[in-house]
Amino acid sequence: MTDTKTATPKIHTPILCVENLYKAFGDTEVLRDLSFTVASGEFLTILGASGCGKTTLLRILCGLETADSGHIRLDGKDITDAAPEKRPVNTVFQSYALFPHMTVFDNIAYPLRLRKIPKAERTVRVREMLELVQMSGYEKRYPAELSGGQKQRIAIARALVGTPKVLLLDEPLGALDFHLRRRMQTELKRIQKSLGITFVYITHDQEEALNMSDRIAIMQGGHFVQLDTPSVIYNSPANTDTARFVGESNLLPASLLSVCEEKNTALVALSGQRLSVRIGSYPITRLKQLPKDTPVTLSIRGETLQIADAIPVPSPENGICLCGTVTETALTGGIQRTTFTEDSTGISLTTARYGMASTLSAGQRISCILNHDAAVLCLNAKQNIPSPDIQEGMPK
Amino acid sequence: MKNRKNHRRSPKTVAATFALLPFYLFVLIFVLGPLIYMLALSFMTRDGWDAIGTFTLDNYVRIFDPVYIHTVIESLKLACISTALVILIGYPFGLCCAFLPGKWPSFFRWGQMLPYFVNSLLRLVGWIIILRANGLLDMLLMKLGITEEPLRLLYTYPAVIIGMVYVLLPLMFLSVQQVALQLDHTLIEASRDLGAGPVRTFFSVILPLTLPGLKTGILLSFIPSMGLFFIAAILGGNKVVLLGSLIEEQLLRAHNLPFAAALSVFMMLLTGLVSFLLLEHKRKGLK
Amino acid sequence: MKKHRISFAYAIIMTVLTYLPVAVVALYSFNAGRLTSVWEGFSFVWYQKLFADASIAEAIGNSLFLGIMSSVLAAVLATTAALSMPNASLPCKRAAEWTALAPMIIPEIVLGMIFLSFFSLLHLPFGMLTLFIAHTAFGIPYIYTEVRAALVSLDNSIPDAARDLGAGPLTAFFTVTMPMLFPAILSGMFLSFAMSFDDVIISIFVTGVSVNTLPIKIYTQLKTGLSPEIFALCTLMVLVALFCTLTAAFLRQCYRKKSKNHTAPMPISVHNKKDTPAIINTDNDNPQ
Repeated sequence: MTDTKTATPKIHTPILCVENLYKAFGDTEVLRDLSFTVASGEFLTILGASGCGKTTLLRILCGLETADSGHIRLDGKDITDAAPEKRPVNTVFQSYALFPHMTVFDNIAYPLRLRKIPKAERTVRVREMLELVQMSGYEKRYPAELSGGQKQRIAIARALVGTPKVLLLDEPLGALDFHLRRRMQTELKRIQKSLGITFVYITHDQEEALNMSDRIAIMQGGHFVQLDTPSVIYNSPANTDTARFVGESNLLPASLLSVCEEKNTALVALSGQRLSVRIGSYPITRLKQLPKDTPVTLSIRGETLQIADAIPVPSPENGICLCGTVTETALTGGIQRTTFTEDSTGISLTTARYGMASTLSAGQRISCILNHDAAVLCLNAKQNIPSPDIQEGMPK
Repeated sequence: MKNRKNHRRSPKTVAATFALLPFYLFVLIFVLGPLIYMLALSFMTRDGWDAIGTFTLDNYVRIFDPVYIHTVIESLKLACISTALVILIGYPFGLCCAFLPGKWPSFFRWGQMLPYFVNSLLRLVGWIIILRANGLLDMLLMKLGITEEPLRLLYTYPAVIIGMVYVLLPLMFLSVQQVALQLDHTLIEASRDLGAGPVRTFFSVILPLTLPGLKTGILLSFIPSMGLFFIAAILGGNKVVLLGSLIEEQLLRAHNLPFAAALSVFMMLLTGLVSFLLLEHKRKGLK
Repeated sequence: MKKHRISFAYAIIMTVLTYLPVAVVALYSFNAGRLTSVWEGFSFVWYQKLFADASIAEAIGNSLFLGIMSSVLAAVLATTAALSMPNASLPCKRAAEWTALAPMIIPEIVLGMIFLSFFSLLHLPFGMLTLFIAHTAFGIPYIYTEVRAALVSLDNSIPDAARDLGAGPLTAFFTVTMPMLFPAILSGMFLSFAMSFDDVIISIFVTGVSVNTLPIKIYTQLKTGLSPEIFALCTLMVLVALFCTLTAAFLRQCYRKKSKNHTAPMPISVHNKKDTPAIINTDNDNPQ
């Protein structure tokens, strides 16, 4: 048994290659031409709303369903048609799926017994796993006697004891309360890093995804809309849907003036002013083909809109001034959000900053500074996004 | 759009088909077969101990002979009376036990199920002792001064009713209790909170929600009641004749298979009609 | 609470009334005399006579054998059916399902009638064989509905997890699915056995001259008159039933500690016949 504490993850080596996966149930297409690779030792999160196909993808990866077409290669071997029991892939199910008629020990030992590993070695490995998930001493308990978080950890231990090449996790923390979820996120990250096993994690909770992953794949309508590191996804969302889905985003229309490829920025006209914005994940070839004055969409994170003192600010140095009328203020979790209707576009924008209750109230005038290069170009989701345009960023 | 044949599915279907086969054949031969045969028999003509295939409606016509139809009507009357009593006594019993705290519902449930492990005949024996002339009941009543002469309840109509209710009550109780146990008590609390008294709460909340259990109980009491001829035989002597007794007599003693079959079909139609009416109302009641 | 007092009182009264005949029988089983009108002193004589009576012992043996064997066959048939029903392809398999459940709602007298006439038609020898077939037929529905209900509430991700962890389909079934279904099967068998043991009407119709099961023996005896041996028998049976009940309750307590969230319904919640056969439509072919 390898030393689990200091295993160095081998990154940059692809361990799982998915090619052109297609799956339909009757007339409903669930997965559409899905392709991606996962690096060895990586923590990849597949993030999407219910119904985007992520559970189906997971079931196909672990073998409980077969795709209609496409290939899956694990460590070089084609496992597309392999039965679930023949794949070195294990799953942590959303409902934990612990065997109710077996003790914790027997649950974890189950995969080892199937491989006919002798009793002595089984005991050692099970104990190791229990220690890893910090549940030593619970060997003789039954699943019904455990709490949600404890069941979760046993499920993880059971899935890891057989040292799979890839671990699939299907929204494992969904049923846990807030604090427990936070703790388990740290736990999972720790376990993953110490074992160096590749994790493919499925969730609809964007905070979880941003918090734990090396890379995130945003899944929508059966394929990946964006596959990149958390910071890129947050700061340069590929399209308006992603922008709305991850973090809080304001979407504003602007007119394209020019493109500056070297600095990866573009110049747009907004509210009668000129603003420099980042190109982000917008396909640059397509951008260069657009004529002047084409309407484009900007994604602006609430925290980048700074409320100014004067209304309006005559000529702000580092950006432009957006003015409007406040419609509502809210204070949630220590974050003050002020929503106002911007004068020139009539769109509602929300600023976010730390603070106590706002001094502003509905009906008041407000002006915000938007710095150059704070906003980012965002593809309108209604336009088609052909797969080759998606740039797969490799983990750092 | 390429389609790969899912070859994991075919062997599954084949295996499942083979697995279902024994059950399928057994049911076909030993349940469906007899049912169809009975239907066929009812249209056949009697031939001594056997039946020959000449089609006839005589058997059904015969049911409407005064003596037989009288039995049918008396059977129905008895069934209705027994069922009514079972409802009156059993429904409150089921409700009461469901509302008790802690382990008590469980306790009483087992209490009612326990006698079922003793053959129903044996349980009726006790009633024979109690109800016979100068039996326990008579002795008690006379001691208390309520009656002067022994009541001689055994071998009378009321004795049969008592026996029927006794045997059928647990079924009503269990059905009602099971449904009542799942009753959401916050609904009752809400009703009281909104101003309804206990009686109103019962009729607006408890009764409608336990109705399925009540209906099940009625079905389970009514359907067997016309056929429990051994209760009529043991507690009623030869004075009380049920439709079931009639079938038994025709089958085992008179060996008139076609007529017995016709009577059986007739009985199934009667019980089927009642079931249908009850369930039909159930569907309507939910709207 | 006032409400509970009334409920409690009513429940107690009803229970007393339920056991009244049983108590009376128990009482008179110890009567030295034969007549119930005269108490001749406390005695075990009728118990002695009961144990000496070979024919009753034989009848009990027959009934036990019949009950157990028919429950076992019914369990095998019903369980395989419940498991394979969604995926099998046989013509009119749903109709077969409804037919199998029919004996639960058809009056026993009619069942007796159809079995008798059908077995005559087939010229089957009346006796243990015909009893066996008939009892299996009416035992099947009880087990089938239980197992079906358990399958429906079964967390499918558990057998999936077994496959995922390396178990082949058969191994997953035997090591994970079956143990989870076991309580339902057992509970159904229990009920099927009770129904068989209690059965009077169907047995009367399909038994042969040679075979005596307990209910038939008692029935014939009752027609000729009361015999206190019967009282002794009744008392003993109540005691045995009580013993079994207590043991079962004790075992359930131990089992309950192991699996509070168990999917299969506990035996106690199932001892009732459903009115309409609750056919639950689960096709495992549903897409996610």
